[in-house]
Parts: sequence; C-alpha cells; structure tokens
Amino acid sequence: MKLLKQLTVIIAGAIAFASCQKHDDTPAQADKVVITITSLQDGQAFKKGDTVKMQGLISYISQLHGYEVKLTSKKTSKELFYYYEHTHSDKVSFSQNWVDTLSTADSLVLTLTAEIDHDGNKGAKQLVLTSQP
Amino acid sequence: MLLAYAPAHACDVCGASGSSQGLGILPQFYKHFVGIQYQYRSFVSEHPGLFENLPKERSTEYYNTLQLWGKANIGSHVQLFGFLPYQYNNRVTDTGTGTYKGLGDASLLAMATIIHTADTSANRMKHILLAGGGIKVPTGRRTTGANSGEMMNIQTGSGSWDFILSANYTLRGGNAGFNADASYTFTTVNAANYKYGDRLSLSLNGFYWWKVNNVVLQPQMGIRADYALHDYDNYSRKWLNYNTGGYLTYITAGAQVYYKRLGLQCSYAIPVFQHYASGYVEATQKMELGFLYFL
Repeated sequence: MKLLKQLTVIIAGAIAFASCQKHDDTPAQADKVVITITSLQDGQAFKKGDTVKMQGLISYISQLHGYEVKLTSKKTSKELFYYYEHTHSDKVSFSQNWVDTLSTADSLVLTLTAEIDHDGNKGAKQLVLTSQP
Repeated sequence: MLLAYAPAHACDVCGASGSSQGLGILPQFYKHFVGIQYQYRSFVSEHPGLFENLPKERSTEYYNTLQLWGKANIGSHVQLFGFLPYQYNNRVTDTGTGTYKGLGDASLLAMATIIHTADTSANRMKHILLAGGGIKVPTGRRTTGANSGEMMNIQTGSGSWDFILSANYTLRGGNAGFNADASYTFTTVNAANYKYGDRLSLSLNGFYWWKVNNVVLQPQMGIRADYALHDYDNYSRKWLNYNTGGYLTYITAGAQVYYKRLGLQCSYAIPVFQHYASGYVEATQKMELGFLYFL
C-alpha cells in the first residue's frame, strides 16, 4: 500500500511538473469591477404594489465567479429579496423583480455584489430606494 | 413580504470528466470481436459556498455508460478498435435531480503490433505489445460553455476533437500473466471555448487463467490511475478552472469468462488514493460489465 501511494504521488507530481498549464494571472482588483444598474436610480421611490425592477450589467477585467442581488430594509435590517448566481464570464447581465409589499415607510438598500474569486475578493455597488405605502 | 432565495444552478466542480478509454486485457484468440459494455461510476461533490452566507453545495453524480465496441484486425499487424457510447448521467442534489442523456463521443483507435511472440511451445514467456493512437469525435450532445450556467463535467459530449496515444503490453508465462495499459488523451478546445484537461490513464493487472473443456476462466486484479489536467473555462483567455482535474487511483478486481465464441467481462473498482477537483470531488466506486462475441 505504501509503495502504491508513493508511486501515485510520484507519477502525479511528475506529470504536474511536466504539464504546467498556462493561466490568466491577472491579480484580483475589486476596483475594476463595474456594476451598472440601468433600471433604478438612487433615491427612487416606490409604493406598495409597485414592482422594483433590478436590471443591469456587471463586468470585470477577468473571470467573475458569481454575483448576488440583495434588497434589505434599512429600518428592520431584514432581507426582502435575495438572489445569487454562479457564473464564469467577464460580463454578466442581471434582471430580477421584487414587488413592494411594505405597509410602512422604509428605506430599501439594494446591494449588488460580484465575486471575483473564492478567496473573498469582490466588488459591490449600493443604491438606496424609498418605499412609501 | 416576499423573500426570494434562488440557489445557483451551475457547478463548475461537480462530477469528473476524467474517463479515459483503456483497452485492458485483450483476448487474442480471435481476430475480430464486437461487444457491449456497461460502465458505472459515481462521485460525491462539494462546492464551496459562493458567498460566505451561503452553504456548500453538495451533490452526487452517477455516470452510466452503455457502449458498443469492437475490434477488427487489418492484416497481421494492425488492430482497429471502435467505441460508441450512450450516456445516462444524473446529478442528485437536495433540491432535485438533473439528467443528461444521449450519445457520447465516439472513438477510433488503430493499434500496431510491435511485439508478438509466436505461440509455440518453445516460448515459455509470451509477449504482446500494441501501440498506436486514435481520435475521439464530438458525436455526443453538449449544451454551451462555462458561462451558460450548465455543468461541464456531466454532459454526454465534450464538443471537442481529441487525440489519443495508447500502448498495451501483456506478458504471459504458463497460466499467469500481467497486463500494462497506458493512454494519453490530448484534448482540444471546443466551439464554446471550453477545453477539458488532457488525461492520462495507467493500469497494471495480474491475471491467471484456467481452461476446463471449452470454458476459460480468467480472474484478474490490479491498479488503475487516472490523471487529468485542469479544464479551461475560456481557453482564449486562459481561464484555468482549478476546481477540475486531479488524480484518481483505484484497486480493481474482475474476471473474464470465455466459452467458444462468447465472452463475459466484469470488474469492480474502489478508489484508494485520490485528489480530484482540489479535493471537492470524491470518487466512490466504479464497475463494468460486458459481453463479447468473437467473429
């Protein structure tokens, strides 16, 4: 068993050494993530029953791994809407809807976060909307 | 209040595409054969949560392959092998099952006989060495690229033309022998700019055979190692996916039974050492069952 394990490691190591693979070595740069929200403006007001359309485009200089769309109540800190998606592209469009069901006035914080890698590097953009029943 | 929670439907880690076509111990007592073979492989995958607030994605992948294959001798020095697989693959998660089924990628191998000891009583040790190469044709169904949200490693086809180098050596002495088989697959980039990693497969098997009347029984045991390089999510941009590729080493046990022009082959393999997809994918077992008809 020990010999078999050593043999496996030697073969795998030799092959790995012999076959170094070219790769994009662009360092993670959170400030290069560009998030454009096309359907909303900061401070935009909504009433109960309105549909909040969250649409836009995320782009980056290299590969993105995913993004999340989060809408939270400023008053209660409760998450009103959440969506995430895994992606393997440098450009990704998003389009999500949320129907305003709030019965009291509140500020809504929309946060778009794009994940650059699995090491915690990410870029984000926030808008604050208002809900007036 | 509406709280929408949508799980990611893509998984770049899950499953393993590193399945290479090995020839194994080949019966040489007839020039041609056709066969049907069933292969089963399973894997348990775990993908790191995309964001820190998200749980890990866990799944089990089942790969079922029903394959037509055959051998035809061309003259006394060349053996042609053809493989036509049909795939039925499942990915089972907590939230459902995804099925990918259809024709897989067909392969054609041409092997030259480099060494073949004459079958006479003067030769106590008998060798046969075959070496050659072939091509894998993208006949299998596949959807789109890595940015499509589809999983790459469980689709029935790769979408790429791949090239195979192969060697197969068998040594027999009396009723015992051993077989060494090696193949290397050079992959190419497909139309979606995705490139599966090159793959190397090595196997060593010892065997013993008995002949009673017209029945030949041949149990065998050995090891098999599969090594795959990382895939490229986008080959032009050199986006290497570190959560693919790796090595799987199995201990295998099986038997072959032959009666007149009929053959039965079966084997079972369990992994002993593995590190696949940066450790996120774990092979659980593999088995094969096949029938041959000699022409």
